[in-house]
Amino acid sequence: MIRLLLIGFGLFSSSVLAVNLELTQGVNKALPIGIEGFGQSAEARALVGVIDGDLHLSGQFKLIPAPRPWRDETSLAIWKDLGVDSVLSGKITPAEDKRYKVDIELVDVAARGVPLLTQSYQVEAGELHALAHHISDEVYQKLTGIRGVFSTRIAYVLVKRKRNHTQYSLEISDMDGRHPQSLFISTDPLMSPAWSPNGREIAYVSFEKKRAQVFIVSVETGERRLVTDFPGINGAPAWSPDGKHLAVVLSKDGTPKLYSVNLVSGHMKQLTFGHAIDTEPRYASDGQSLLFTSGRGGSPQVYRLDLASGDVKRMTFEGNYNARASYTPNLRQMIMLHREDQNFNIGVQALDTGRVTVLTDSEADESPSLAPNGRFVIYATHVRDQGVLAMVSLDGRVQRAFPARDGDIQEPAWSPFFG
Amino acid sequence: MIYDKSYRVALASAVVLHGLLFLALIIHPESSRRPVLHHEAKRDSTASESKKLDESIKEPKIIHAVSVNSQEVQEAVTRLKTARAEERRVEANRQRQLKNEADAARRLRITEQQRVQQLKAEQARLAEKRRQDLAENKKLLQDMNKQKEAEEKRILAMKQEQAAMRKQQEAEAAKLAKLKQEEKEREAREKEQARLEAEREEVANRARVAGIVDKYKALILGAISRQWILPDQVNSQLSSRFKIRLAPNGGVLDVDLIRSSGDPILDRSAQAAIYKASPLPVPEDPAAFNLFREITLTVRPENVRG
Repeated sequence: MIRLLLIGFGLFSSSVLAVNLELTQGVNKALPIGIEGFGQSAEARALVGVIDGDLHLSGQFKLIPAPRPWRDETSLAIWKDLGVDSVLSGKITPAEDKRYKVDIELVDVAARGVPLLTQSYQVEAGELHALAHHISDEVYQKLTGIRGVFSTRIAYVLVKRKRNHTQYSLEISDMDGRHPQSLFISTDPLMSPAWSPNGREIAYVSFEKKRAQVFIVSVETGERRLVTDFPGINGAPAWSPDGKHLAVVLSKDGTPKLYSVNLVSGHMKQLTFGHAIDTEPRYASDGQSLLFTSGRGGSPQVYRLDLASGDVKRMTFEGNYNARASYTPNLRQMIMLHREDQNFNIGVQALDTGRVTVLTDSEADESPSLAPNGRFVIYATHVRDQGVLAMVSLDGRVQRAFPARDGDIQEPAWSPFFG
Repeated sequence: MIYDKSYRVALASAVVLHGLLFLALIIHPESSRRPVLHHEAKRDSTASESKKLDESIKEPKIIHAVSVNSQEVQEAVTRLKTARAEERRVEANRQRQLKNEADAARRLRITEQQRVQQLKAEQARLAEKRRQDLAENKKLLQDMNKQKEAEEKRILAMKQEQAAMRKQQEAEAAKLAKLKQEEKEREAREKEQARLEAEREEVANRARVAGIVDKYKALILGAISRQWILPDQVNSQLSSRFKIRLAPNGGVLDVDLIRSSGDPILDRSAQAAIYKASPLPVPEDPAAFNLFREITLTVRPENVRG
């Protein structure tokens, strides 16, 4: 009996003493990563520079410099001693026709060199830059599980004030603000660029006829087509997820209201009614609803329109100004321009709790646009009275201000994934 | 006894017979002179028996006597004389015969006496023998009794002795039992004490080990936690479980993902953290370390630090 008890107790105690740990707390730190082996050629340096910049921009990686003296290969043990979790190594070798062969390998140093990614590419010299972004995307996705946005682009309006006039241009740059290209230049105001879901077209508002018109321009060819040209406001175009509809704001009947234009048939349908101003529609990723800004409650607030039923529901209650809202791809949060007291900042609201987190702390932020992976928000802000691009991660931890350009940057729009 | 009685009767009858014979021999002349008397006496002696007969024959006898008396007295005297001679001869014969008979009787008596003597002797002998036998018997009996008594005494004594012995034995057994009991109790006490002590020690040891274990559990968790870079936007509802094998110096030998969260990034982040935390803090105490040879770790990205 006693022995039994003792045995029981022993079992009990051994089970009590068995080491089963539960870890619920981690740190929020950048993933330490090393890059090695691409060589010292100009192409290699450029490539590594872009990857390095991308990973740094994301704020999710800590780039550990390779130990000196530089060697083409550093042992895993040394990397491990440097505290690196993973190492990206690669090789650029010239191939035929001025092409380059690029081999990369990503290994898990922490897990004793388990290879995570092995790829081989052949690109032209001019594509090395894009390839670098692509490699960044691959590495990013492999290590974070989130699709990278380093190959996506940003559209924005650049306003250059000249001596006699003001020049407006529709610019498209890499997501890091580099390599901007003008898609359209006008002496009249341009507004509200919006990427089509496939990334091939941009809808925007032009005042070239001294009144607002909504156009769609092909990114590749620059061809345009007019979508709406009603008296009054024609503004704030937004693409439905299937790319078949374009929601617009029209004031043809007096008050600006939401309409949707069927881009195939040309039919138009009014979405919101009443005497309050409704504007800035943004489709949810499932196409079932859209968010818009309305003054129907007295101050501008965000509302949700159910497209099937036409029901409208107020979404924001915190702050005295909420506008330009859009859902994250997973529909769990929405980002918006939010004013608590005086300053306009980028806010993110959790849809389950309604809690709003303010991500930025400058005086006047505007035009937040969400990255297609839902991780970052690009927005325009003012640095020394100049409009510049800035980026903030959705958790608010990573903030990046992009180099200023000659002119003011307005209304950035983040592209969808390409391909 | 029975013989004794028969002899006695025989002897008495023999003596009486001889006495009568002797008496008869002595009084013979008178009886010859008065035979009638004798006859009468004889008759008288039997009178009571034959009264009736006497009365029936009285008459004829008297008549006869009257007729004979006068004539034939001489004849009668002669006859009486011859008769008397005859009687004398007969008497002589009888005397002889008697003498013979007496001799014979004497002889018989002598033999009888001898026999009696013998008998007596025999009887005496027998009596003696019986007496002796009796005595012997008695003695024997007495002896037997004595013996019996002695035996009984002895038995009693033995019994007493046995009882005493038994008592003693019992006492000794009791004493032994008591001693045994005491020994048992002492042993039990000692055992219990040892057990208690062992238990105390065990408890203390366990507590010590448990203390060590708790301490190192916390240390290990801290070490891994510091290395665990939580993936962005990780679902805090997820969890993965690992089996970790440790070397005595705390070095991580193996990390086995035994239950994936379904999120490879979360799984890998935790795995990297475990490897990077190597060597983990483990107790030097071998008993305590044994518990850390293989540990399981469940990670659940609930909290973020820093």
